[in-house]
Amino acid sequence: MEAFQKIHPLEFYRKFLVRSVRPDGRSLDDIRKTTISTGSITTADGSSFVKMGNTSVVCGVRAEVGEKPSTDKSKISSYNVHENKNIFINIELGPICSNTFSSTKPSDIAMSLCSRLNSLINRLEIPETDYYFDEEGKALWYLYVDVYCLDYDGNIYDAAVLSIISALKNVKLPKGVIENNDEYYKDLESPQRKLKIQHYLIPLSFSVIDDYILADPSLDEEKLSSGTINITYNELNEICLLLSTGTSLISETNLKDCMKKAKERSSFIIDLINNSNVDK
Amino acid sequence: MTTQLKRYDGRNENKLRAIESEQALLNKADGSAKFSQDKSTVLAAVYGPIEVNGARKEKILKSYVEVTFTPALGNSSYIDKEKELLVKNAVESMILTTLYPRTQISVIIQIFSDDGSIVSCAINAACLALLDAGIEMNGLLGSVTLCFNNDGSIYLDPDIEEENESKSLAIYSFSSINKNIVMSKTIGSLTEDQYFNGLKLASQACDFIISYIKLAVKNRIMGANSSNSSGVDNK
Amino acid sequence: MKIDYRCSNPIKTTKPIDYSVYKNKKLSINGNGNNNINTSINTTVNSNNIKIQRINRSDEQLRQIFMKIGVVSQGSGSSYVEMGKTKVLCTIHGPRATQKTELFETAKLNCELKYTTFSSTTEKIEYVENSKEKDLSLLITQSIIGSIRLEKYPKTAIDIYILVLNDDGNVLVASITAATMALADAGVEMFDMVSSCSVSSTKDNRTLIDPTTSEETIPTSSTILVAKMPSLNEITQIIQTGELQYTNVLECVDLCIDGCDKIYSIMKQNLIDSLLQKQKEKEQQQQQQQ
Repeated sequence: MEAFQKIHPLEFYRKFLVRSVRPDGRSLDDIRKTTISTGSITTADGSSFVKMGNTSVVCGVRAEVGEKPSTDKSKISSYNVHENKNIFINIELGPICSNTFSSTKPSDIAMSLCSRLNSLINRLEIPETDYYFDEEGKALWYLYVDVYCLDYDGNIYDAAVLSIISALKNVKLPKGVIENNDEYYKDLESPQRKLKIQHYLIPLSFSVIDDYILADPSLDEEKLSSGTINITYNELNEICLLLSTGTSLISETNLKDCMKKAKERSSFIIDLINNSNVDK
Repeated sequence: MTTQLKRYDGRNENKLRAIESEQALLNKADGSAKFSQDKSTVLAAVYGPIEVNGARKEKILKSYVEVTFTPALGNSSYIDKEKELLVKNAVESMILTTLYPRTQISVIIQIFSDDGSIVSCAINAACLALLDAGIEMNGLLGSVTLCFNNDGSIYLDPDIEEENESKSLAIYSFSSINKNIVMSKTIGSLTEDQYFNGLKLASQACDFIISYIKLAVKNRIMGANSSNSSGVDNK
Repeated sequence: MKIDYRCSNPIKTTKPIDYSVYKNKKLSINGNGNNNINTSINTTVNSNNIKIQRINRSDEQLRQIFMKIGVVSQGSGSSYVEMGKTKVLCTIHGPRATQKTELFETAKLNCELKYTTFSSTTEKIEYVENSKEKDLSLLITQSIIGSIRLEKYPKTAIDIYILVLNDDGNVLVASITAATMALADAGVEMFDMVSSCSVSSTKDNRTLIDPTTSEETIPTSSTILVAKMPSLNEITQIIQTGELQYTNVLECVDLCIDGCDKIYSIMKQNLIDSLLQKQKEKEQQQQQQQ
């Protein structure tokens, strides 16, 4: 049995897919057990830990202060007016999560994920006043969000999105004081405030093997797949990101099915994020 | 007759910009093509089938497709990696990789100027360059970008200013085989209805681009003197 | 061609400093101009005059330790260790064949330690490995290489990757513990497990076992770390930083050795518990299949 899996992995999988199951017992639409916990890293301003099946991801947010960006229009800017430029996301896929990654150079997957996550999160509508360091907004908070993958078992995109949203909702910023025009201090005695993020992001990824579409693929399934569909909804059922890539062509009906499945996950994810961020 | 100047350059909502293309510009490359949609210009060069760079990447039954995306200004960054992935997936769906086992097909994309819809332009240029290189494909590729604005209007083939002011963008890529989506990506938030409306518009626009590509290749092979195809606009 | 691998901010940002430090400085300047002792602005360091108070534990008590093995499914072996608030994760890849086809008679041990960027409040950590991490990696390699039977795995490499999630002092001890537990989980043959303990000795003759960050960073204190193999009663590593008198060194080393034994018993118990658990799960699975 195991030898067959190693020599002909695709054939092995096909035998299961014909009966609409997967080797780990899930049906084609079932999603692995998801847990989110926040606030475990005490040295970070906000943190979260997400586990989807075996895939584990930890996310930490650092807040630093800087000047307001210059509103000089003559500088070539390729930024959209709806993007906010105060959050910088980086994802690290290191050798600790899988033996295929190196510790020095980030892999292609990491870089393209980084770009996708940045464009996704920077379109969240966060009011500008949330970033003000002091009351007038002469200086702004900049948030550096770092996502570290601890165990790479497929579907890193979903886990990363959930961890970033939970961590951002967990961020507590202290009150800021500016002295002598350029010295920044944080007042730890007054109460800390949270960012006003009203939105939720509900991600779901699919893998395409032959004509079957599998939700929440594990690493073995990703390796055999010929296409990937990533869909992210927000709580108003608007599409925040839809990415359909791969060597196989996707029909409109398949896409509509995937969208339906992603929406069904909405309420579960929203509850999960809320429960993890209950004020302790 | 009233003219509605909704967009900066006076186009209608679903009008593509003027397309120009040129093939076989580079001597050393197996195939090359320059594709421009008004001010967005992309040069694509194809080398292949050639020997694989590192033994690790070699695939026994198929060809390994590699795409390099170089921006007009500055260094390559992680943002370009994402664009590489999009072009690679579109192109790999069309190339008959099983005909070239244990080889590599490199597509190098160089942006001359970025005036919006750059990924679509790159995919179109890559398709032309692959035809120029004589690499066997399943069908032709076409790609367009749509932008969705705050007031609910949908603009086809936006330029950089329209992209910056839009609420969301969607890049679609279709092939000449059937109506299925080869590659699709959205940035920003949009409703499902908007997405599927855009899909219909994009499908028609891609058909148009594919017929343009056919015309360009036909002109080059049969139409005597110049290798320049003139821009054909208007739907 | 230079590639920007990661997302960066074009605007320079800094971490804001504690306002209470600035207020104290202002008060001391306004009060009497002679008092210069409390003027360190940039660090959260305690000066000579301020006493360290340990809440809830004595000078000779270790913090609460939590260990778990087999946490990462992708590695040959893995472990997670928590000592108080310090959290460390370790993954082992190996023994696996190396790409370089050199003929080694023994296995090659490679260790890499990395701090996450949000693990420390006192210093700025980059994504690229800095010299402090390299130094710690080498120290860990030196501490455990003596315990592994490298000659049993010729022509292979054993890679140890350690990620420090949260730094609240005593990172080296937690890392050595995590590395040993992960090696045990991977089934690599060893002579014995390595347990380690560290002690911080202050100028007023207090010796604090298992120091936290604030206790480690006192400018006039010194730390001693001892790593040993308890069953063989052999010491694999002693590190001492700072100025310390000879008698104090001996005293600290003795304290450390006792601490090592305590930690060793915790490690052993943890391994046995997790083995029993795995056996139980296997039996359950077999019953389900029948």
